Amino acid sequence: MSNTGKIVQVIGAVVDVKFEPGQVPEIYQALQISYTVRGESNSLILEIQQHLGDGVVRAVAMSSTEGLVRGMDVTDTGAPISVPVGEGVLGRIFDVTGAAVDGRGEVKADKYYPIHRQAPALVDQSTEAEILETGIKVIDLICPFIKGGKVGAFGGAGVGKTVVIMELINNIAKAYGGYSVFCGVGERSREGNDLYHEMSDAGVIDQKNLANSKVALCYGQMNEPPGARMRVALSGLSMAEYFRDEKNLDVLLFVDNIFRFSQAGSEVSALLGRSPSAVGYQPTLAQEMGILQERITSTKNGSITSFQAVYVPADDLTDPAPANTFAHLDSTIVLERRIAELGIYPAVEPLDSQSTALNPAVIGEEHYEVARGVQNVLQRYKDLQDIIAILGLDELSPEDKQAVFRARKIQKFLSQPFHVAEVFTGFPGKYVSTADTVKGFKMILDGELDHIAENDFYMKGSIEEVIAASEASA
Amino acid sequence: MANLRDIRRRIKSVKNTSQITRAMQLVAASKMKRAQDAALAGRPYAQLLARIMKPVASGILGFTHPFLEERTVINRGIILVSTDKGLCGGLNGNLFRELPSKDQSVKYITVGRKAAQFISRSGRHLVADFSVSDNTTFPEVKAVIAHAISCFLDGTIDTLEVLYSGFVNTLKQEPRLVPLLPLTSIEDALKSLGIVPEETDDRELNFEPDVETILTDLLPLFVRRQFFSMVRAAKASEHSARMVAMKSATDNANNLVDSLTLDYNKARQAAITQEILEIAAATASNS
Repeated sequence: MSNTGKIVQVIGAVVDVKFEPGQVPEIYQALQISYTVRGESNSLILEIQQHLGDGVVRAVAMSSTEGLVRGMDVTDTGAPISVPVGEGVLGRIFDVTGAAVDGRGEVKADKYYPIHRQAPALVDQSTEAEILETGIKVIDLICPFIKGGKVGAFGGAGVGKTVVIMELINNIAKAYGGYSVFCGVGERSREGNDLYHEMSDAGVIDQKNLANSKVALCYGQMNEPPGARMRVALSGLSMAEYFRDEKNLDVLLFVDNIFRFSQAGSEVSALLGRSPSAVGYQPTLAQEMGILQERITSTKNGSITSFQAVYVPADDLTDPAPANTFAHLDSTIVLERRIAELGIYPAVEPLDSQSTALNPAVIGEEHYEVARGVQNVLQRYKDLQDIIAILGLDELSPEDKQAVFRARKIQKFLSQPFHVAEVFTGFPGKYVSTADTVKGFKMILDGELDHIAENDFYMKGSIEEVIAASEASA
Repeated sequence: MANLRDIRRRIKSVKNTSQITRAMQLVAASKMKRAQDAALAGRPYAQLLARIMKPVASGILGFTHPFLEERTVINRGIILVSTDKGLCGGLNGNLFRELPSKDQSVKYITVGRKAAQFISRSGRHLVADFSVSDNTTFPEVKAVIAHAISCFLDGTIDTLEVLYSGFVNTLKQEPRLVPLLPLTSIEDALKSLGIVPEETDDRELNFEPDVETILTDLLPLFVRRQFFSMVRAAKASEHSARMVAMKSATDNANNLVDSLTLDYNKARQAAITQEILEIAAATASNS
C-alpha cells in the first residue's frame, strides 16, 4: 500500500501536500501526481523542499502545475528523483526526471542514480595539472584549461558565451575519444535541438547504433518551470558521475547556462517562504552553488572536465550569482561587450580572464612570459586610453606609442574565426595549436611584426597567415 | 557597471588634467601673440634687405663668393627646427615626416630638444644641436647659423637646407623644406620666405667703398637674417599649435568628464534603486 497525501495549496510551481501523521516523506524525496488535464493523462513529479509541520510538506514541481486541484491524491515514490545512468544513456536526450524525450522509446539502463549525491571526499580528489588544448588562441594563451578542471565562460547577453561553448564542444568533444554529457539549463530550446543534430552529423551521436554514441544530452530549457531548471544540472551531473566513479573514465561535462540554475533557485525561493537576500537572490545562493560545484570534480579514479557558461546580468560581474560562481572555477573566460562591439570574436577580455594553470611550473616559462607580456601591453594601452582621448596619440612618448600599436595588433590577433560561426563570419574556422599561439604573440611582443598593418591581424589563425596576408596586400 | 569609487577617481583625474591643459592653453595664447608679432615685425627689415639684394644679385656678374658656388652634392646638410617641449599636437610629428629617409650622407643640425631626440633616436647623423629661447634673439640664432656656415665652408656639407614649421595662420602650420645655401637664386629664396619685393626699383645703387666689400658682408648677413625669420616663424607656429592642441585637449577632457558624470549618476541611481527594492522585498516577505 503506497503512501499517499493530498494537495492543500498550489502557488505557481510550489505545491503543499498533506500526509498522514507519521507517514511524512523525507526532504528531497520525489512525489508523483497522476491526473488528467484537458482530457490527457499527465504525470507530474514534485520534489520535497520543506516540512511545514502538521504533516504538510512543501514541494517544487518539475513541470507545469497546470490542471492541479486541491485535494488531489499525491503518491510518495519513496526515493529522490533518479535518472538512468550507464552506457544506455548515450545518444539520448533526457529531461530533469530522467525520462527520455527524443521519442526513441524507453532507456535501457541497469542502474539509476538519485540526483542528490555526496561530493567526493577530500582525500579522493585529484590534484594533477595537465593542460587541455582547446585550439582557441586567447583561451590557450591567457586562461589555459586543466584536464579535470572547471572552466567558466562569463558574459552578458549576446556576447557569445554559447558560441564559445559550442566551439569548445567542436574542438574538444568531437575529437575526444571519451564520453561527454551536455546539460542545457534554461537556454533556448532551439540551441538544444541544433546541438543534437550537429552531434548526429558529426557522428558523436550514432543514429543507427545508439550504443556507439559518445554524448548524453540533458535539457531543462527556458520553457520549463523553475523546478526543472533548478535540478536538471544535477541530473546531467549524476550521469557524468557514474562514468567517473564506476567506469573510472575521464568525462567532459558542458553546462549552458549555470546562471539559470541560480536564477531558478531564486524564482522558487520566495514561494518557499524565504526572505530575499542581496539583489533579490535566495539567501541560500552560495550553498546551492557550492553543493552543485563540489560534485563536479576529479577524483583519483576518473575526472570530470566541466565547461560552464555563466550569464552575467546587466554585464555586472559583481552580481551575486556570477560572483559566487567565480570562486569554484579553475579557469575563467570573461567575455566583454566592449570587445564584442569592436567586432572582435571571441570577445574574451584578456585582462579579466584567468586560470590557475597560468603558472610557469604548469605551462612552461616561455608561455607564461608571453601571456604576462600580452597582458602588460594591453594594460598599458588601457591606462593610456584617457590620455589618448584627451591629448591625442601624437603626445605619447615613442615607447608608449609603440606599446599602443602593439596592443592594437594583439587585440586584433586575439580574434579567431570559429568553426561553429562559419555561417556568420564567412571565414572558415581555424584550430591553432598552443605552440603556434605562443610563437605568434611572442613575435608581436618582440616587435618582429611592427611593419605589418593592424588589419592583417584580424580574424586569422596562426601568425603565418598574418604574414602571408601582409605579403599578399603589399 | 564600474565601481562608483573608480568613476569618481577618474572624474577627478580628468578634471585635473583639464585644468592643466587649460592653463597651458592660456600661456600658449599669450606667447603666441608675442611670437606672431615678432615673426611679422621682421618682415619690413627683410623686405628692405631684399630690395637691396635684388639689384645686387642681378648686377654681380663676374663676382664670386663661396655662397654662390654650386658644388656636386655629396653631403646634404639640414637644419631641423623643432620645439623644445611637446604638447603641441601633431606639429613635430608632421615636421619629422618630411625628413628624407635615413641616410648617413645627410647631416643634421638641430634647434630644439625634440628634434635632437628624434634625430639621434632614429639613428640619423646628428652634427650639432642648439636650443633657442621662446623670445628668440638674433645672437642666439647667429650661433646656429654660424656653425652651419662654417660646415658649409669647410666642405663637411655641400648644401644647406632648413626644415621648419612654416606659419600660415593660427590654425594652420605647414612643414617647409627650404634651400639656404648655395644662394643660386635670391628671388626663389625670397619667395620661400613669403617676401615679394615691391615693384622693381630702377634707381641705380652706388656701393661705397665697392661692390665686393659690401657683398662679402651682405651675403652672410642675408643668410643669417633669412634663417632668423624662419626660426621666428617656427616659434609662432609652435605656440599657435600648442594653443590649439591644448584647447582641443581641454574640450576633450570636459566631454570625458560629462560622459563619466553621466555614468556615475546612472550607477549611483541604480545602487539606490537596488537598495530600495531589497528593503521593500524584505519587508514584504517578512510581514
